[in-house]
Amino acid sequence: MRRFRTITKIAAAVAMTGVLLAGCSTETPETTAAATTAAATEAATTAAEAEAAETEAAETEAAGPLAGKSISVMTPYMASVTTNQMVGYIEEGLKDLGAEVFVIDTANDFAALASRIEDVVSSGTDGIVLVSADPNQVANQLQEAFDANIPVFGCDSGFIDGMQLNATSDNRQMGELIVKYLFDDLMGGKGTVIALTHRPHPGVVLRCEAFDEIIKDYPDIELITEQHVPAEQPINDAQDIVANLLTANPDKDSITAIFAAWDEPAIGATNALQEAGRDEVIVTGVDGNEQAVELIKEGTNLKATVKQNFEGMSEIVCSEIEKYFGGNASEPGEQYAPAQLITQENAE
Amino acid sequence: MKGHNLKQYGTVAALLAIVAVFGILRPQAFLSLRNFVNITRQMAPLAIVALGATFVMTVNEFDLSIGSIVSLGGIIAALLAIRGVPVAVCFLAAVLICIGVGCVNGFLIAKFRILSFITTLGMGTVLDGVIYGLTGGATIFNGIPRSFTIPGILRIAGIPFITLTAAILYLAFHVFMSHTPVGRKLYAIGGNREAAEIAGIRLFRFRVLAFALSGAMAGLAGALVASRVGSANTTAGQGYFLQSYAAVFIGCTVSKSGVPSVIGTLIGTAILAVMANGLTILQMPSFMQDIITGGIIILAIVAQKIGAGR
Amino acid sequence: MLLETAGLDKKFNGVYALKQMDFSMDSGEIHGLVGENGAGKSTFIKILGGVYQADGGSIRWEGNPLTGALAPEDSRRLGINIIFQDNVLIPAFSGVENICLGLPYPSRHGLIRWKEMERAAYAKAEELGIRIDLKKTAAEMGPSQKKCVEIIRAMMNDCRLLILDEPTASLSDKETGLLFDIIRRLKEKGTSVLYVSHRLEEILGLTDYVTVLRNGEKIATARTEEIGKRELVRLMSGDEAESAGDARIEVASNTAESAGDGMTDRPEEETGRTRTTVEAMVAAGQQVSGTGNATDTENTAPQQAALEARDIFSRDGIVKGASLTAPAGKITGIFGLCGSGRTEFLECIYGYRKIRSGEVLVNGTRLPALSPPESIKNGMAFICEDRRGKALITQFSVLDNMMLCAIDKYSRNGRFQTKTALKTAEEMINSLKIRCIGTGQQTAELSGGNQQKVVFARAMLTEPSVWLCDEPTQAVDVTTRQEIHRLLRREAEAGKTVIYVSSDLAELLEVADSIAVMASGKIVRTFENRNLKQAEVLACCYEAEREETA
Repeated sequence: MRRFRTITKIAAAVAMTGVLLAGCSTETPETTAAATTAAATEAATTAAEAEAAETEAAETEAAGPLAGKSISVMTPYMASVTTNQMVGYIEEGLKDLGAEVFVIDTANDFAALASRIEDVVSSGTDGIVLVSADPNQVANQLQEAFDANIPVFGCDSGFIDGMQLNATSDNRQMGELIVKYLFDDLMGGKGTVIALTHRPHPGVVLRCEAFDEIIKDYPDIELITEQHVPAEQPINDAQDIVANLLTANPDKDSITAIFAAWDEPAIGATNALQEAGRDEVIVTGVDGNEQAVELIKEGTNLKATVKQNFEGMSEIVCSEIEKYFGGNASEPGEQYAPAQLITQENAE
Repeated sequence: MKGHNLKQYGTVAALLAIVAVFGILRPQAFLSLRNFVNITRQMAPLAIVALGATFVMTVNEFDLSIGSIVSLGGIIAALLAIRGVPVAVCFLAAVLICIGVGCVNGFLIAKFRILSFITTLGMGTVLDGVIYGLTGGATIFNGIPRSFTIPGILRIAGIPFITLTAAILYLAFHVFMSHTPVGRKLYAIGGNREAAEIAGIRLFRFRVLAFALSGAMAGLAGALVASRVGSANTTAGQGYFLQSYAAVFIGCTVSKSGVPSVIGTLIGTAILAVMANGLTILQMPSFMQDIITGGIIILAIVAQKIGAGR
Repeated sequence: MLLETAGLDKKFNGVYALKQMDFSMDSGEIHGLVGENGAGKSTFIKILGGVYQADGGSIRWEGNPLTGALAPEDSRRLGINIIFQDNVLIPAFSGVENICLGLPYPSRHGLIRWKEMERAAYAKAEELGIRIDLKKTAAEMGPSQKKCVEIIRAMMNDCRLLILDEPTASLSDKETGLLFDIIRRLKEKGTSVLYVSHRLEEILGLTDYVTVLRNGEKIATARTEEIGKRELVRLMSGDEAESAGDARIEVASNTAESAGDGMTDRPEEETGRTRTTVEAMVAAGQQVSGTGNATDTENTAPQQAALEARDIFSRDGIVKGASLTAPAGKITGIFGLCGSGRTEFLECIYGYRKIRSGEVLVNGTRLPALSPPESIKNGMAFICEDRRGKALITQFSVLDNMMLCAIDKYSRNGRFQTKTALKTAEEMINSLKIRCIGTGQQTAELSGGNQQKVVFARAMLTEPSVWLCDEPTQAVDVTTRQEIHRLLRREAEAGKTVIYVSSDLAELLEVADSIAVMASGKIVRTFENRNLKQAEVLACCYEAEREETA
């Protein structure tokens, strides 16, 4: 079913591109850049370069270190609150440095993301920031960017060779932090647990792996089941899944805890538990989104989450981009923004 | 025509068989009143969306924008709720705007005789853009008042409000489609457009009506889902698009002549919902759930073809 | 006068489909409307039905001029109802609901009162003397039942003028008889009937008046009793097919020369064109075949591509042990009453209908399996009865339809040779005299006869050695019918095998060398067509049916 959805979306994306191309002349610069195709490469590149040179000469001093640079900020997950925040921070930070920023979202569609990367590479963008997207899934397209000497920066993405940077919370470390807190402090080292996961996401999968590893060390903790939560409407779906699992495990204390790999399914799980009156079940999330923090404060089933330092990641990306174009780039690799555990005591 | 809608019981039997299998495997958990209520609540939003798809399929058209309309309905309702608009008005506005979208779809298709497939594909993309413009791509939850979530979580005599809404709509529209002149005319158009035209049925009016109803249902479902989860996700509707058509297609196998029907769609939706519920109760891994559910859909349709052949 | 039209004009793409149509008919009159395909018959009735709007002219109804555009519902309000050739019923609806379609549904508090609808439908059926199960859905009904449903529907709202477009095309003789009884009963009640048909016997037997159209213009209106079949044919076709009555003589004649001689009263130019038609058809067929066909032209002796079917039983039990031997160089006719399984037998041979047992031999070699691709490989061409439904992809162009079976032949190294194909298609259009704008025109826009020519053109491109024709002249005009007969005769003379299935015995007697009679799923007897009388064949049919039931 999901495959069909993808195909439909590709079709939609193709249709959309057509519409955009047709309406190119009237579009804003943002969309124009996104829709420029390989056919227009040469002209666009030359034009962009000429323009860049001009602006550089004229405004270097006035407009900051990244003046004349056009940076493409790309993500398939704009609907996610946290991704959205990060994109906002990065856009703001880069604009303050004087760069021109193009934000491109492909609404859960990796195939479309791949196409958009090809588009910005051929239109001669100066840099790509990939937000919350697994670079491995668009490795071929990124290779084109590498070949064109376009630097690629990740933000909460993942790292592959050729990229300059991936700024991230250490998802692995976040996973370890919350899982250990759940197992030791909340469960007391024993009981049963349900895992709500979404392994296609590069960050989320590391948390899941941390969970997989650590649970091996706790013989008294039993995994009831792991359920995949689709990304389109995770709260609603998680709520349904957990409601069904509660039906399957109707006895009080038959479920000790629910581990959610990010906050949205944790919220859905909490809703389901409240509806069923199962106050004893513990829920944890990861990400620290506002709705989740609210629920922690209220003293619901949701007991803890790990707040990712999204602002920190965005700052890392912006400063690394500045360094790169300033000629003193750091060694390529991952850089971490430290994460923080949030419980009812410190929730705000 | 009376009673003809349920001439073929194969699909109903399939639903009962699925229920029986789950019932045998997990009698306590599955065969409980609570779980029954649970299933009806879980299937309600999909059922409402699929009801809309049924109207469009009845006139032999497709509405590919249905998923985006669901998202739009939720977003509009949520955005208004944040601005302090009373809940009822939020819902009404969402439904009305989505009816408007449906009317535009229907108008374009009926007036210019464009394939509905293409028109609604375009409309879906347009709506995705509109949604993005309204929200910046972000999920809306900040500032949604408690009152907005009432329709989503309210229960009347133990029955969720969402379930009741779906039940009332199904009852009303079953009567509408089977026993009122307007419903029969929709069927006539889908059955043989030429014949309908010659019989003096106003194609334009009824085709627009079908798309408008589809929009209304999708918008309502979107608002209900947003209310239930207390937030509006910009992609919330995507999951409903294919599911709703799967439900209608399974539903077509219920009637002897293979035409969509309200009861058929209800059964189709029920099959999908029972599968999701039962397989989760069995704690089956998610990938297996997809494989089994997809397989059952194909089986149902193949079985009907074989059944109809002889 | 009930209906009068004066100077009605209708143009499509600037071409007159109907020109200066003056017409009138009275209450209780049965009026025949004849003309070749494309003569403007459908255009005229569609204007009366409000489907098309006339570009000019006027219509008077009971003496009152109709002003403004006539919409379908206006037309029905006046009491004009059309029953089209293709059934326009909703498959999933019951007879009752189909009958009441277009009437306001009887309802109370917005809900339909099914019982009332049922009563009304059955009452009307009773009144018309039609006894069929109206609770069945249209999808479950046979062609004559569907026709009855349509007639009842038309009569539901005070019908003053019933227009029937080729109503008997899908009916058997017996069913046609029943239909005529109904029509005569309508006349007694004062309803007028405008009867459109290709079947001149029906026109002559049923109508009071007849109007002849040609190329969109009215040629004549006459009292039916004062006009003969010969005269009608002459009026319909102009000069071209005057000798239609002598078709047997002309078609059976062995050379193109004598075919020309039979048309001596024709202008020189016309004759020349007819001759080239026949020759070009064969030439086109050969040209496509290239070298492989050389032997065909040399060796026209019989026994070349004989077809034999042995003990065919169809899986659905309609064909019950039919056997047939069709020699090369001959036209073998198959005649049977409705329901005898003649069409089904042919479909079995072609492999379109699944068989339970039996075998088919081409040139003495048994075909390992029966399927359309296998049959085509073995040189069969199938002209099927349901032209719109099964033979043509009507939204395809003339070219695409012609090339459907020959795509591979016109492809070299995986590329379709558009130019060659276009050239061939144009030759086919010329040689078969297909009336169309060009190779790119949609076949849906062609008239019935021209569509059938496209079907034949396609078959010719596959260079068949065995022709399987099922009612190939159904609902085509007289001239096309002649052309098809000639074409098949030439094919037979070139050593091909032709099997010709028809429900029209007179036609078979004209065209076939021998006639196999089919009854109850079997071939009961084969007659040589020498001094054969219709009565003999029919007697054999009824005898066989009687034996079967006894």
